[in-house]
Amino acid sequence: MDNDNSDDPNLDALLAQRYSPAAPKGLKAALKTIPERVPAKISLWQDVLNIYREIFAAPLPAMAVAASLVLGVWCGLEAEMLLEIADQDVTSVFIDIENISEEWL
Amino acid sequence: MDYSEDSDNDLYRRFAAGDRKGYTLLVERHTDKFYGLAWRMSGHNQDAEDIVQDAFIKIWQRPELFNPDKGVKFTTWFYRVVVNLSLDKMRKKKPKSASDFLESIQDDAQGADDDLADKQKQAAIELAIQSLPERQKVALNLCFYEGVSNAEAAEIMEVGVKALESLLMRAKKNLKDHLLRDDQIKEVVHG
Repeated sequence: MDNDNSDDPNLDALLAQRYSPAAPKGLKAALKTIPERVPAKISLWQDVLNIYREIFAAPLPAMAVAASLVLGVWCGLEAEMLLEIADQDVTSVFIDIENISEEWL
Repeated sequence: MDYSEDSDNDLYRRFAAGDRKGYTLLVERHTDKFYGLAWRMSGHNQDAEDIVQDAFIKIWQRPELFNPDKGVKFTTWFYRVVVNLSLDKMRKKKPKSASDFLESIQDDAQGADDDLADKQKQAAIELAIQSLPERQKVALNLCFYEGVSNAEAAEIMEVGVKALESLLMRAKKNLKDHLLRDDQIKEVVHG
Protein backbone atom coordinates (compact mmCIF):
# COMPACT_ATOMS: atom_id res chain seq x y z
CA MET A 1 0.00 0.00 0.00
CA ASP A 2 1.47 3.37 -0.95
CA ASN A 3 -0.83 5.48 1.20
CA ASP A 4 0.45 8.07 3.59
CA ASN A 5 -2.81 9.32 5.06
CA SER A 6 -1.64 9.48 8.68
CA ASP A 7 -1.53 13.04 9.96
CA ASP A 8 -3.23 12.62 13.33
CA PRO A 9 -1.89 9.69 15.39
CA ASN A 10 -4.61 9.93 18.05
CA LEU A 11 -7.41 9.82 15.54
CA ASP A 12 -5.67 7.09 13.57
CA ALA A 13 -5.28 5.01 16.73
CA LEU A 14 -8.97 5.43 17.45
CA LEU A 15 -10.00 4.51 13.91
CA ALA A 16 -7.83 1.40 14.17
CA GLN A 17 -10.17 0.22 16.94
CA ARG A 18 -13.09 0.13 14.55
CA TYR A 19 -15.00 -3.13 14.54
CA SER A 20 -13.61 -5.60 12.02
CA PRO A 21 -16.35 -7.77 10.46
CA ALA A 22 -15.84 -11.36 9.35
CA ALA A 23 -17.90 -12.93 6.57
CA PRO A 24 -20.49 -15.40 7.91
CA LYS A 25 -19.42 -19.01 7.49
CA GLY A 26 -22.25 -19.91 5.13
CA LEU A 27 -21.74 -16.98 2.77
CA LYS A 28 -19.04 -18.48 0.57
CA ALA A 29 -21.04 -21.69 0.20
CA ALA A 30 -24.14 -19.69 -0.74
CA LEU A 31 -22.22 -17.67 -3.33
CA LYS A 32 -20.81 -20.85 -4.86
CA THR A 33 -24.33 -22.18 -5.44
CA ILE A 34 -25.42 -19.10 -7.41
CA PRO A 35 -24.78 -20.92 -10.73
CA GLU A 36 -27.33 -23.58 -9.68
CA ARG A 37 -29.84 -21.10 -8.33
CA VAL A 38 -29.63 -18.30 -10.89
CA PRO A 39 -29.77 -18.95 -14.63
CA ALA A 40 -27.07 -17.13 -16.61
CA LYS A 41 -28.78 -14.90 -19.14
CA ILE A 42 -26.34 -15.40 -21.96
CA SER A 43 -24.92 -18.87 -21.45
CA LEU A 44 -27.00 -20.49 -24.20
CA TRP A 45 -26.16 -17.73 -26.67
CA GLN A 46 -22.49 -17.97 -25.81
CA ASP A 47 -22.50 -21.76 -26.15
CA VAL A 48 -23.97 -21.49 -29.65
CA LEU A 49 -21.33 -18.99 -30.72
CA ASN A 50 -18.51 -21.05 -29.26
CA ILE A 51 -19.68 -24.22 -31.00
CA TYR A 52 -19.97 -22.35 -34.30
CA ARG A 53 -16.48 -20.89 -33.93
CA GLU A 54 -15.00 -24.29 -33.11
CA ILE A 55 -16.58 -25.96 -36.13
CA PHE A 56 -16.00 -23.24 -38.72
CA ALA A 57 -13.07 -21.39 -37.15
CA ALA A 58 -14.77 -18.11 -38.02
CA PRO A 59 -17.12 -15.60 -36.43
CA LEU A 60 -20.81 -16.07 -36.95
CA PRO A 61 -21.93 -14.52 -40.28
CA ALA A 62 -23.38 -11.03 -39.92
CA MET A 63 -26.77 -12.21 -41.12
CA ALA A 64 -26.95 -14.83 -38.39
CA VAL A 65 -25.83 -12.30 -35.79
CA ALA A 66 -28.50 -9.91 -36.99
CA ALA A 67 -31.17 -12.58 -36.68
CA SER A 68 -29.87 -13.52 -33.22
CA LEU A 69 -29.79 -9.87 -32.28
CA VAL A 70 -33.43 -9.41 -33.11
CA LEU A 71 -34.36 -12.59 -31.25
CA GLY A 72 -32.03 -11.73 -28.38
CA VAL A 73 -33.53 -8.30 -27.89
CA TRP A 74 -36.97 -9.86 -27.92
CA CYS A 75 -35.71 -12.21 -25.20
CA GLY A 76 -34.59 -9.27 -23.08
CA LEU A 77 -30.89 -9.27 -23.92
CA GLU A 78 -29.05 -6.07 -24.72
CA ALA A 79 -27.95 -5.40 -28.29
CA GLU A 80 -24.58 -3.96 -27.29
CA MET A 81 -23.78 -7.07 -25.28
CA LEU A 82 -24.72 -9.43 -28.11
CA LEU A 83 -22.60 -7.50 -30.57
CA GLU A 84 -19.60 -7.48 -28.28
CA ILE A 85 -19.79 -11.22 -27.73
CA ALA A 86 -20.14 -11.87 -31.45
CA ASP A 87 -17.25 -9.53 -32.41
CA GLN A 88 -19.39 -8.07 -35.15
CA ASP A 89 -19.24 -4.80 -36.95
CA VAL A 90 -22.27 -2.76 -35.96
CA THR A 91 -22.91 -1.30 -39.43
CA SER A 92 -22.97 -4.66 -41.19
CA VAL A 93 -25.31 -6.06 -38.59
CA PHE A 94 -27.75 -3.19 -38.92
CA ILE A 95 -27.73 -3.50 -42.71
CA ASP A 96 -28.61 -7.14 -42.24
CA ILE A 97 -31.35 -6.27 -39.80
CA GLU A 98 -32.85 -4.07 -42.52
CA ASN A 99 -32.59 -6.95 -44.99
CA ILE A 100 -34.25 -9.31 -42.54
CA SER A 101 -37.02 -6.81 -41.91
CA GLU A 102 -37.67 -6.43 -45.63
CA GLU A 103 -37.70 -10.17 -46.23
CA TRP A 104 -39.79 -10.99 -43.20
CA LEU A 105 -42.35 -8.21 -43.40
CA MET B 1 -6.68 -28.52 -13.68
CA ASP B 2 -5.10 -26.28 -11.04
CA TYR B 3 -5.93 -22.59 -11.47
CA SER B 4 -4.70 -21.52 -8.04
CA GLU B 5 -1.73 -19.60 -9.48
CA ASP B 6 -3.87 -17.75 -12.04
CA SER B 7 -4.45 -14.02 -11.70
CA ASP B 8 -7.95 -12.79 -10.92
CA ASN B 9 -8.32 -11.52 -14.46
CA ASP B 10 -7.31 -14.94 -15.84
CA LEU B 11 -9.89 -16.59 -13.61
CA TYR B 12 -12.51 -14.13 -14.81
CA ARG B 13 -11.57 -14.86 -18.42
CA ARG B 14 -12.09 -18.57 -17.79
CA PHE B 15 -15.38 -17.90 -16.02
CA ALA B 16 -16.65 -15.67 -18.83
CA ALA B 17 -15.80 -18.45 -21.29
CA GLY B 18 -18.05 -20.80 -19.35
CA ASP B 19 -15.60 -22.41 -16.89
CA ARG B 20 -17.38 -22.41 -13.54
CA LYS B 21 -14.22 -23.15 -11.61
CA GLY B 22 -12.98 -19.66 -12.45
CA TYR B 23 -16.08 -18.23 -10.76
CA THR B 24 -15.73 -20.52 -7.72
CA LEU B 25 -12.10 -19.52 -7.18
CA LEU B 26 -12.96 -15.80 -7.36
CA VAL B 27 -15.61 -16.39 -4.67
CA GLU B 28 -13.09 -18.33 -2.59
CA ARG B 29 -10.42 -15.65 -2.88
CA HIS B 30 -12.41 -12.49 -2.34
CA THR B 31 -15.63 -13.07 -0.38
CA ASP B 32 -14.13 -11.95 2.95
CA LYS B 33 -12.73 -8.77 1.43
CA PHE B 34 -15.94 -7.76 -0.35
CA TYR B 35 -18.08 -8.65 2.66
CA GLY B 36 -15.82 -6.45 4.80
CA LEU B 37 -16.35 -3.48 2.53
CA ALA B 38 -20.11 -4.09 2.27
CA TRP B 39 -20.35 -4.27 6.07
CA ARG B 40 -18.30 -1.10 6.53
CA MET B 41 -20.53 0.67 4.03
CA SER B 42 -23.84 -0.56 5.48
CA GLY B 43 -22.96 -1.29 9.13
CA HIS B 44 -25.33 -4.24 9.02
CA ASN B 45 -24.68 -7.98 8.75
CA GLN B 46 -27.69 -8.98 6.64
CA ASP B 47 -27.38 -5.96 4.35
CA ALA B 48 -23.70 -6.78 3.76
CA GLU B 49 -24.56 -10.38 2.85
CA ASP B 50 -27.28 -9.22 0.45
CA ILE B 51 -24.91 -6.72 -1.20
CA VAL B 52 -22.17 -9.30 -1.81
CA GLN B 53 -24.69 -11.83 -3.06
CA ASP B 54 -26.26 -9.30 -5.44
CA ALA B 55 -22.81 -8.38 -6.74
CA PHE B 56 -21.90 -11.98 -7.52
CA ILE B 57 -25.31 -12.64 -9.08
CA LYS B 58 -24.68 -9.64 -11.32
CA ILE B 59 -21.46 -11.07 -12.74
CA TRP B 60 -22.87 -14.56 -12.95
CA GLN B 61 -25.80 -13.32 -15.02
CA ARG B 62 -23.81 -10.91 -17.12
CA PRO B 63 -20.10 -11.76 -17.22
CA GLU B 64 -19.61 -9.36 -20.14
CA LEU B 65 -19.98 -6.44 -17.71
CA PHE B 66 -16.26 -6.72 -16.95
CA ASN B 67 -13.63 -6.99 -19.65
CA PRO B 68 -10.45 -8.53 -18.18
CA ASP B 69 -8.43 -7.42 -21.21
CA LYS B 70 -8.86 -3.68 -20.68
CA GLY B 71 -6.08 -3.29 -18.11
CA VAL B 72 -8.31 -2.95 -15.04
CA LYS B 73 -7.92 -5.36 -12.14
CA PHE B 74 -10.97 -7.50 -11.34
CA THR B 75 -10.91 -6.46 -7.69
CA THR B 76 -10.80 -2.74 -8.59
CA TRP B 77 -13.86 -3.13 -10.78
CA PHE B 78 -15.70 -5.38 -8.32
CA TYR B 79 -15.04 -2.99 -5.43
CA ARG B 80 -16.85 -0.37 -7.54
CA VAL B 81 -19.79 -2.75 -7.99
CA VAL B 82 -19.94 -3.40 -4.23
CA VAL B 83 -19.68 0.33 -3.43
CA ASN B 84 -22.48 1.21 -5.86
CA LEU B 85 -24.78 -1.55 -4.60
CA SER B 86 -24.04 -0.48 -1.01
CA LEU B 87 -24.88 3.15 -1.75
CA ASP B 88 -28.12 2.11 -3.48
CA LYS B 89 -29.12 0.01 -0.48
CA MET B 90 -28.22 2.67 2.08
CA ARG B 91 -30.21 5.34 0.27
CA LYS B 92 -33.32 3.18 0.66
CA LYS B 93 -32.84 2.71 4.40
CA LYS B 94 -33.29 5.10 7.29
CA PRO B 95 -30.12 6.15 9.18
CA LYS B 96 -29.08 3.75 11.92
CA SER B 97 -28.54 4.60 15.59
CA ALA B 98 -25.61 3.64 17.86
CA SER B 99 -27.75 0.85 19.34
CA ASP B 100 -28.34 -0.58 15.83
CA PHE B 101 -24.57 -0.78 15.32
CA LEU B 102 -24.04 -2.23 18.78
CA GLU B 103 -26.58 -4.95 17.99
CA SER B 104 -24.90 -5.70 14.67
CA ILE B 105 -21.47 -5.92 16.36
CA GLN B 106 -22.81 -8.13 19.16
CA ASP B 107 -24.47 -10.47 16.65
CA ASP B 108 -21.10 -11.36 15.25
CA ALA B 109 -19.31 -14.17 17.08
CA GLN B 110 -15.90 -12.69 16.26
CA GLY B 111 -16.45 -9.81 18.65
CA ALA B 112 -17.48 -12.07 21.54
CA ASP B 113 -14.24 -11.57 23.46
CA ASP B 114 -14.47 -7.79 23.58
CA ASP B 115 -16.15 -6.34 26.63
CA LEU B 116 -19.23 -4.18 26.45
CA ALA B 117 -17.31 -0.91 26.84
CA ASP B 118 -15.16 -1.79 23.82
CA LYS B 119 -18.23 -2.67 21.81
CA GLN B 120 -19.90 0.58 22.78
CA LYS B 121 -16.82 2.47 21.68
CA GLN B 122 -16.83 0.57 18.39
CA ALA B 123 -20.51 1.41 17.93
CA ALA B 124 -19.75 5.10 18.55
CA ILE B 125 -16.94 5.02 15.98
CA GLU B 126 -19.27 3.25 13.54
CA LEU B 127 -21.98 5.84 14.06
CA ALA B 128 -19.49 8.64 13.41
CA ILE B 129 -18.20 6.99 10.22
CA GLN B 130 -21.70 6.17 8.98
CA SER B 131 -22.73 9.80 9.44
CA LEU B 132 -20.08 10.98 6.94
CA PRO B 133 -21.18 12.13 3.49
CA GLU B 134 -21.25 9.16 1.09
CA ARG B 135 -18.08 9.87 -0.88
CA GLN B 136 -16.02 10.66 2.21
CA LYS B 137 -17.15 7.39 3.74
CA VAL B 138 -16.26 5.41 0.61
CA ALA B 139 -12.79 7.00 0.48
CA LEU B 140 -12.13 6.31 4.16
CA ASN B 141 -13.32 2.71 3.97
CA LEU B 142 -11.23 1.92 0.92
CA CYS B 143 -8.00 3.59 2.04
CA PHE B 144 -8.01 2.92 5.78
CA TYR B 145 -9.75 -0.41 6.05
CA GLU B 146 -9.51 -2.22 2.72
CA GLY B 147 -5.83 -1.44 2.33
CA VAL B 148 -6.09 -0.26 -1.27
CA SER B 149 -3.70 2.44 -2.46
CA ASN B 150 -4.90 5.99 -2.93
CA ALA B 151 -4.44 5.55 -6.68
CA GLU B 152 -6.62 2.42 -6.77
CA ALA B 153 -9.25 3.98 -4.50
CA ALA B 154 -9.36 6.95 -6.89
CA GLU B 155 -9.85 4.53 -9.78
CA ILE B 156 -12.64 2.70 -7.93
CA MET B 157 -14.39 6.01 -7.20
CA GLU B 158 -13.67 7.36 -10.69
CA VAL B 159 -12.02 10.53 -9.37
CA GLY B 160 -8.48 11.93 -9.52
CA VAL B 161 -5.97 11.10 -6.77
CA LYS B 162 -5.96 14.71 -5.53
CA ALA B 163 -9.74 14.68 -5.21
CA LEU B 164 -9.54 11.38 -3.33
CA GLU B 165 -6.98 12.81 -0.91
CA SER B 166 -9.16 15.84 -0.36
CA LEU B 167 -12.13 13.54 0.45
CA LEU B 168 -9.95 11.69 2.97
CA MET B 169 -8.84 14.89 4.67
CA ARG B 170 -12.40 16.14 4.96
CA ALA B 171 -13.56 12.73 6.23
CA LYS B 172 -10.97 12.79 9.02
CA LYS B 173 -11.80 16.34 10.00
CA ASN B 174 -15.51 15.56 10.15
CA LEU B 175 -14.83 12.41 12.13
CA LYS B 176 -12.69 14.26 14.64
CA ASP B 177 -15.40 16.88 15.12
CA HIS B 178 -18.05 14.18 15.51
CA LEU B 179 -16.03 12.04 17.92
CA LEU B 180 -15.09 15.01 20.10
CA ARG B 181 -18.77 15.27 20.95
CA ASP B 182 -18.66 11.77 22.43
CA ASP B 183 -17.51 11.90 26.07
CA GLN B 184 -16.42 8.28 26.05
CA ILE B 185 -13.83 8.78 23.34
CA LYS B 186 -13.04 12.49 23.62
CA GLU B 187 -9.97 11.74 25.75
CA VAL B 188 -8.53 9.38 23.14
CA VAL B 189 -8.84 11.94 20.37
CA HIS B 190 -7.17 14.62 22.47
CA GLY B 191 -4.32 12.26 23.45
